[in-house]
Amino acid sequence: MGLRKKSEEEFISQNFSFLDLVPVGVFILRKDYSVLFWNSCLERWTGVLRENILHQSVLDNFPILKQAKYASRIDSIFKGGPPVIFSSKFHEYLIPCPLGDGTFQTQQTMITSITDKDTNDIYALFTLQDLTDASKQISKFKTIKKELANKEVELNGMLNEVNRVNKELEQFAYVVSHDLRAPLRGITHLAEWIKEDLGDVMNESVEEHLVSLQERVSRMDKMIEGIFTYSKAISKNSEMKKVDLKLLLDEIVDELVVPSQFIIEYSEKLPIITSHRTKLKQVLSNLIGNSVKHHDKKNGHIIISVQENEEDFEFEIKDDGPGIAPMFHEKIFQLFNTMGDEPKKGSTGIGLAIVKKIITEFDGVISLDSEIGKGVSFKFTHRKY
Amino acid sequence: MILTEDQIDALGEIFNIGVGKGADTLNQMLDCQIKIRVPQIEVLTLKELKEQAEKFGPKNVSTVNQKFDGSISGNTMLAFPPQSAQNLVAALTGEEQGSPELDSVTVDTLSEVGNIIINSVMGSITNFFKQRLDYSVPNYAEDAIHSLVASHVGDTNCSIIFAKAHFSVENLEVQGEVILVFSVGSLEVLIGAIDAFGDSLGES
Repeated sequence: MGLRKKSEEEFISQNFSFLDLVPVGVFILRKDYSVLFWNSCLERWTGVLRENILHQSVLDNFPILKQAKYASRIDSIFKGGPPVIFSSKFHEYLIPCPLGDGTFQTQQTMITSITDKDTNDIYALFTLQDLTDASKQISKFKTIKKELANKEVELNGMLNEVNRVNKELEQFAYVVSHDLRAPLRGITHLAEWIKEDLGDVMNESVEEHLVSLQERVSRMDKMIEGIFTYSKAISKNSEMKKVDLKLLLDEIVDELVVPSQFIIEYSEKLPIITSHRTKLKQVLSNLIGNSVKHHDKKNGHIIISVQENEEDFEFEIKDDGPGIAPMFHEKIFQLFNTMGDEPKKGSTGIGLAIVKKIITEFDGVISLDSEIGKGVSFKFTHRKY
Repeated sequence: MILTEDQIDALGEIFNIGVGKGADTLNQMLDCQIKIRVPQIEVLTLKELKEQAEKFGPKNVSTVNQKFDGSISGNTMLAFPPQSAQNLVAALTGEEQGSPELDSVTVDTLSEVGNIIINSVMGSITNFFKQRLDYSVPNYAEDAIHSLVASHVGDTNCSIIFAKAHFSVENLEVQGEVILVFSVGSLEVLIGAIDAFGDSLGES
């Protein structure tokens, strides 16, 4: 026995003493599970000193290794079989190494067969790698990933709900506008028939009232149509494409009824931007149309400019009309809000509300600068897509 | 080397015994019901392996490799196509299927599964040899199957036993395929040993 021990100790010191220098846990077992080598890293990790475990059965200190699932595979090593791996997922650890917070190291263990060529004795070399940090990080990463996936599902659900509500709103607006306009048409016809029925009997006062009635009906009709347009403006089914601003303005000016003495001025070289053409056209025609409609002179001058910034385009529509009193600067963008005598000019109070909605959709803002008698300048931004 | 039908059958049986034992070890260890079988094996050259592997799926697969040296020298590889890797790890760990990219813990898990199956197959093969083989440390790698075989065996004229193994986990309806690639410098020694064993059975 003494000789055997000496020979084994020489075998270990000649071949494996460097294992005291490595940052992994290493121990070597004899066929009878007694410990032949226990490196200093393991002393530190387990708190079990080499002198207290050397030549003792490892099973006395770590009875977990008696379990059949370990024993059968460890035994194959003593028959000279291929190395055996115990992964951290299936076996959190083989040798418990306390971490101080009541938990234990997560380990990957590999067992390799080593043979003393002189004696042909086979030993099992256990190498333990500490995977605690990696396991924690991966588990944390997986939790975050799962949370993100849940959030994504939640967001998609919300988005679907928003889309559904938007669709319903659009349908509602359509139905309402359609159903409300039908009785209006009836009122128009009834007024016509009253006129016809009264014939020569109708006095001036009745005729005035009937004209007034028809005007209000016509205004109501425009307002309902405006609601429908507004509801379409907030639906987000935008198709973005390249828009040549010069061509778009040419088209708008061409379609507007502009007095011949009016000058609408813009550069020949305007940028081509990515936008929703129909919606942008609606914004520009509403703003330019307003400048024309509300101008107090026959020879008005409107200047349109576009400036390219780093993150957006800034549009300005400036006129030399009567201007807007500061008290209306906020109010005019609200739905159905007009400035006092506006209804007489056929305004419904919807146009600028639509403009603001669309600009918000372009991630932009709109503002105006104006004083009574000094014209008005509308400025809005349009995000670069 | 051209093998007779009997020799191919015998090799198939050896592989089936090996993967069966591997499944037993997994079942005992994890208290699960995994079954693995090898319906048939093929003996291929490296060039033919490339063609077969390309048919099988994506170029790069997760593999566990075990090199051996001695009476016969070569490499045994267990290759996991990505979906099979995910299915198998999820079934064995009882966790939900993770992302397609393999993290180090999943790699560690695949390494143990591969190690268990390869060792059982090696055990089944080495039963025919009186001498022990020397083994290197098992290694995990992701690459094309034929490139890995070429780099491990280092001999383009090596013989390759290619076995598609089918696994299924009872109660979980999880199944898939893993590929066993056993490559040796020369098949003669292995076949000789198997034939000798068969002869000895006939004599007794």
